[in-house]
Amino acid sequence: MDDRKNAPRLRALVLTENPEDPMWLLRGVPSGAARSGLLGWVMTAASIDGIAPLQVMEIMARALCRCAKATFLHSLPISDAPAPKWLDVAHGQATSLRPGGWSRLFARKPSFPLICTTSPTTAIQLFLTSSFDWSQRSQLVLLSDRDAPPPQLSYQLFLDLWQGRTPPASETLVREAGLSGFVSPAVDGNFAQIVAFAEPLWQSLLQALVEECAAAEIEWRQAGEAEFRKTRWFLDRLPEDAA
Amino acid sequence: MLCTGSAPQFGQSATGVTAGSADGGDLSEDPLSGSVAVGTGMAAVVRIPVPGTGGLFVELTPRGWTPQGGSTSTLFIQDATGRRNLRLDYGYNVRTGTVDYHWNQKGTHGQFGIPDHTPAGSGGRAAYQAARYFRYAGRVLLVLGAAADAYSIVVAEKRMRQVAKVAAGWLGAWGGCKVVGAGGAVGGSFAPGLGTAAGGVAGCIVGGVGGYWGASYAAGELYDWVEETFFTPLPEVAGPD
Repeated sequence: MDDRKNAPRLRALVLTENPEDPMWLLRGVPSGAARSGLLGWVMTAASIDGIAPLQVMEIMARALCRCAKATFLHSLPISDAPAPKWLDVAHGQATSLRPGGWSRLFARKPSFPLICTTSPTTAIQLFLTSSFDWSQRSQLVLLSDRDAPPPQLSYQLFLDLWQGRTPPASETLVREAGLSGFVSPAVDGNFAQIVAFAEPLWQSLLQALVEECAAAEIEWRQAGEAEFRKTRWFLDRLPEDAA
Repeated sequence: MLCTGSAPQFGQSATGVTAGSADGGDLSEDPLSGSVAVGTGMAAVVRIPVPGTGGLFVELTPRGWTPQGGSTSTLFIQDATGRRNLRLDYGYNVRTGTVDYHWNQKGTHGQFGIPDHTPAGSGGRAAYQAARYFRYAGRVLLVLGAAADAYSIVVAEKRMRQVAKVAAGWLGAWGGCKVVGAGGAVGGSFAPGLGTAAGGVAGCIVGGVGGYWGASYAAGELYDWVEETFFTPLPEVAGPD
């Protein structure tokens, strides 16, 4: 109880559009992506542990699930079906993208366990997946039409997106799979890269973030990249910093 | 009754990578053996335990899966799942607002007292670069060691003896790395984090080389003892009148 009372609190979410500085360590975006942005969070103080703040998780999970179906890597103890099948699970559907036997054995390619959901409670897990750590930029959240079936993903397409590779055909493949955008952790998981392949999704995501911030009484602001770079992400400094 | 086994040959000292015996003798006479290469390279791949931390290990690669260029860290003290980790990182630091060498951590503050995004200073920079290159150099050493050991088997007169020595050497290097590395990690923890990792890796290298040499030597001894003990009788022939 005391820990939570003393935990750093979220003060503001800040978004910059079309970030370019390589220091953010952004994933490659397929050509033709409509809009992209980088979301950061201002806290009252630095936290001891490198985990995304709970309030940020809640706001992002709610905003994403209001606008889209979120498909992400998970480490939940649930059954799934090999792609392209999706198995109904609590609050969503689950599948697993597996490399060919040869690749799995000799190229050390991972299997990708995916869950597709519109439930914010489930979507929060995207920040907590140990095998695909948010803070080490291993998570990838695909966005698709909220009212459509889960996206039809091939192993190679997901691998390319996960690796941040953007082969020339990726734009077509992304659209054929029914994807409308993605969210990905940026440097140290302290930022979230948001990409929408169509303007309507971008606008509805921004609107949802603004409304969720308002509901949580958190400041929302947008900034140019230069200003974003100078943002003071912790309002108070840790005692050892001051010393 | 005659014995066909050969007496073991004892050398004076092991002289590093190139100690080995073509006839399956002890290390000091081996023309090529991977003891130093294997023992040193082990530190790049073995999980070096850090006793008293609830299952944390020193490693040079992250747990779980990361895309190429995903993790910008090179030195990890982490549990088997990667859920708890302390890692030495280089990149933009939200705490300082600059690109620097710093620690990232989850769930290890109780053991090391290092909060997330703590700048690592010049020592951190040196350790980051050393780990970055040793991660690959260590693997190269393992390959070279394996090649040297394979060669030593091919040219050995007593191939089975050399196979036993090499197999025992690799096992000994692995075990020595773990045991002495764990001791080094504890000893180095007077400087939590950096000292823990440096002590662990240094201990692993010492234990790896010593473990390889000791186990290989013991295997050679054992082989010779067995060979002497279980001898083959030769047919009796009439002696000279």
